[in-house]
Amino acid sequence: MSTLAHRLFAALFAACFLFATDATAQREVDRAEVQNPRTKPWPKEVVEAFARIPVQHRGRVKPMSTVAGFRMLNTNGKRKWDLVEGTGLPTAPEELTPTEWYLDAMLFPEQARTYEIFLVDDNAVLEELGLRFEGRKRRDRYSYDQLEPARDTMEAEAQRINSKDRNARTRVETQLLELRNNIMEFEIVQSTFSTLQASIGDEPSERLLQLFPEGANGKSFPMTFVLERWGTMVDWGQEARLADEQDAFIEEVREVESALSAAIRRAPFSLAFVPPEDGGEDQWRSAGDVANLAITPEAAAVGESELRLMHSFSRVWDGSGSVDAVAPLLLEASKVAEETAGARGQFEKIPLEISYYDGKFFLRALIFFLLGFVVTAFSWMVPSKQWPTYVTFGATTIGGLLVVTGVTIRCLLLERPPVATLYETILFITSIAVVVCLVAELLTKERVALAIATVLGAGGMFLAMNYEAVEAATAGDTMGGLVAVLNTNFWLATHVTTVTMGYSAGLLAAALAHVWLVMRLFRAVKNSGPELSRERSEWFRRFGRLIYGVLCFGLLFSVVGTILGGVWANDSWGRFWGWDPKENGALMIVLYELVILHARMGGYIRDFGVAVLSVLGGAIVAFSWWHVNQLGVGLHSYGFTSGVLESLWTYYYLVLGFIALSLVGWFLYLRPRRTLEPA
Amino acid sequence: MAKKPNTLPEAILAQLGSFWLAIACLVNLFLLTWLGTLEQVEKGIHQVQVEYFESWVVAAKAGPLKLLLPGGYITMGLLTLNLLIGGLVRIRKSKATIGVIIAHVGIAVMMLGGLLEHAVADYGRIILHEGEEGDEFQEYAGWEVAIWDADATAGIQEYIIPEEQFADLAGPDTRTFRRADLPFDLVLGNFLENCEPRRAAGIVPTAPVYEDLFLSEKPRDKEEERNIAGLYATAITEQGTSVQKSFLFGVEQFPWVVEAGGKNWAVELRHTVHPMPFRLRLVKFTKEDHPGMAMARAYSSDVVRIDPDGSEHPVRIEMNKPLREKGLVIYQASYGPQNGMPGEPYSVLAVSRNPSDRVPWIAVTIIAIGLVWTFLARLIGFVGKEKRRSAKAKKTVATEGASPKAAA
Repeated sequence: MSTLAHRLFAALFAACFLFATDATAQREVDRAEVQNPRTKPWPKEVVEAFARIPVQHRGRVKPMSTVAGFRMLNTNGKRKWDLVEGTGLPTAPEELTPTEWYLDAMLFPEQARTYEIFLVDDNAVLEELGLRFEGRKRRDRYSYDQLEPARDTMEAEAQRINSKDRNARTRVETQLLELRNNIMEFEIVQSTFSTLQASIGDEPSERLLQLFPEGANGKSFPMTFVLERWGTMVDWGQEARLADEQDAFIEEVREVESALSAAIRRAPFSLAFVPPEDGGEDQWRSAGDVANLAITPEAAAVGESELRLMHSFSRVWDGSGSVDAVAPLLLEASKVAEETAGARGQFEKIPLEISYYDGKFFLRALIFFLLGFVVTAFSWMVPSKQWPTYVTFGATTIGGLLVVTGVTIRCLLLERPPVATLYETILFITSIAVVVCLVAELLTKERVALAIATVLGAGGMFLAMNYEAVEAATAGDTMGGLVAVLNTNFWLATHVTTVTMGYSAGLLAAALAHVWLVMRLFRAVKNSGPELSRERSEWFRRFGRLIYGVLCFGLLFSVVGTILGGVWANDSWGRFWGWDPKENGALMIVLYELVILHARMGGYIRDFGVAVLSVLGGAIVAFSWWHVNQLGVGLHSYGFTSGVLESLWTYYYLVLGFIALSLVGWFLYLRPRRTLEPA
Repeated sequence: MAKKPNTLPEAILAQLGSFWLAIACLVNLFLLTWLGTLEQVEKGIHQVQVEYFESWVVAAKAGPLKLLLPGGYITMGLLTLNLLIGGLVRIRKSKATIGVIIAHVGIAVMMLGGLLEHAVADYGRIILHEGEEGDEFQEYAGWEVAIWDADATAGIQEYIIPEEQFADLAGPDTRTFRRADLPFDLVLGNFLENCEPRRAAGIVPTAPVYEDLFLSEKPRDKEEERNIAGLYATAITEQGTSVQKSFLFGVEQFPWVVEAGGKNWAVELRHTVHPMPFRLRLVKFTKEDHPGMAMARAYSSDVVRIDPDGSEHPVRIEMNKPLREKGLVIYQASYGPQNGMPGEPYSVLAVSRNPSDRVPWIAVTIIAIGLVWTFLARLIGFVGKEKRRSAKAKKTVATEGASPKAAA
């Protein structure tokens, strides 16, 4: 036992080491040739103020930092980026947060274009684009400037791929599309402030110069000046039409008009940071939207506060190229944005959302669960010591509390119960499993439930963090809007939470059953047969009862949740049961757990049988939770994710392999044998 | 456990109420659900529902194999018997089984509700444009042939031939429908579950051609609602002296008109229609999107319910908030057109007539009580055992600790 524990411990440390260090060796970085680089780090107060700017994105008002965070996650694969030494940039080395990256992209775009931040998972994508880079790994990061030469090819390829059926696309084609989307988004972001500018050109007419004296000597000026003085230009246009001098007029105002047109063209893609003054209107506006409204006959639709906010944003570009110059302008813009959103009551949740992401609850929970697991592994080597148990319990409790806190904040932000998307089910299922394990540990004090809590907690957090990136790529956020049928807090709070608790219990029973089987077979191998001491036998029986109890708990929630789902469907779609794959998945869990409980009650199986069937039950929960969504059939076919099916099949094979091994072990060591006593 | 059976009926009852039968039924239902779910990818939900759950036997597809399994009828029938006999009658009545019995009662109630629904419930929809009224709903999948006096302006009486009377008429088989008060016989045949009218010019038609058109059979669509049925009809009047022929297509805009007995008679193939006990008028349909997204966060229909006495009752029907009135439940189901102009929108309201509409609520409450009871009883038992074990272990440690002193 001690040798096994020792090896396990060594393997665990090796795994932790690999996890903690970036296994990739650093290559020599390219020098960035930037005319006007940022010479100092962004001041903390500027970063915080910029992060607080509320924007409406994908149907929800959120802080700029959230938008930047998910954009960086999509682009870079993680929420930080290191400006390494060797680039020649004045502030290197520097770890950039998503907000700082956004600031650079918007106000030092030339520098941001040199950042090797575009993650390419497979360099076959680059070969497809005709790009070759020496000394790069298959999975590597590249800068906008490095990818820019293939921009046209990228666009042509994207059009070709988009015309193909989604299921017919190759992995490389899908990655190419993702890269192209990241590039496009970056292009839009970097023009955020620059497109709020207008110009009258180097040789303006006299009256144009009089109208826009700020534009003398070819200087750019805030777009809002154009909007304010648009009436005069309209009058000029009418005079020109009467005098049949339209061509000359168009030529005269070409520069102004082209800046305005560019902003309007980009309106659908640009950040919507302007809340409408009309309280009845809930769609925020981008600069292009405001410009478009301001120059139409319905100009009155643009409120004074909207123009004021847009003006403060337009002025920020005046300070671009210098952190010191731009800092006060950004602080002012943030203040105006806060006031404008606050006047509509849409700023209150911004600080809480910033705290939610800054809190990194799930990453920290993962660290505590891993700590708990390491200490648990250590405790197997010194079973007589009590302190490792206390430490593990403490770490796991803190981990659990962090998950629960994160989930609670999400509820407060979204004003709805905690489970409405696949990402949220991961968080909820993990928190329930950890809480049930901790309660079971308090009841049994055997350290088994505690150890499982650490494994499930860490596994759940790993899964959540990975799936967050997937949702970021597909939905742009993990707090996206819900389809109409899900906009009901009553049913989300009852059906979804209960059925998810059923999933959680099914997975927990499977995890416990794995441990039971390993320990029981290990003991059987050690004793070369099924015989156990009375104490040991009692221990396994108690452990078996725990699995049985968790199954009962799971059945309760699965049955109630499944029927409540039917009742909800009856209220929403007019039928109680429609044999939809998701409904069937929930029913399968119910039926399967009923089979186990009836087989046990009927005496067909005992603890070993319950454990084997519970292990298989984990695969059934996985089928219901993830697999049915991938079938593309029915009303619940949301959340299709490439790669999920492969992972599921791997899990199914592992489960089947484990069960096969368990049955072999049972046949060799545990099956009842009839023996004849010697006469 | 119940006493040992002595007679044959008792033995049969014992087997019907046995654990093994419960397990066998549950396993089979599990397999039907699992394999049926996977087969939905190819066949669609409706087809699988019919083959797996509304059947006596099914050849279920399990990868490359076909498994012959008892279908939904046999499985649910046996499971119900097993539940009643084993789970309610023969089960040992004791404090320990109270929760289980209660849960079984709840499941029995739910199955009863399901049976009632399967036997008598009607489902369909009514589509209304703003300002439009309606007093009947159409099924999604079922078909019927309707015949009525096309010249009548009021008190129109319809003659209905339900689908089950012509659904088997594939190929050359025909069936004649006759009524004494109708001046013609109607011969139906060549029923096609999914088809489309095609021009015969330039191709070899696969069915009789009328006015250069014939019904061309299409493969069955796995989305049941997309299947449009078709049927060939012959009207024979005046002892066979006049014969009029045509085909009936499920979504034809105008009915086929037959001249007989000095009148015009309309003949139409349509989704089965059910009358409603009141009229509905759509006043306004509202769709609300998430800001800046093309995703509806809510949609609702402001309707007026007009009772037979003429009284009007304004109601709002929205997602998750249906209208329940006079045995009907009316839900906000969909809308259209997707990119309609202002004034164009129509609302799709799902309608159900299901006498067991509220049974699931009752069943889930009973089941929850039973399962909570069982779970708590077992939890309390488990905690009690653990406490006793812990106390015993402490006592043993204390005794062992005291021994050396005593020895000293």
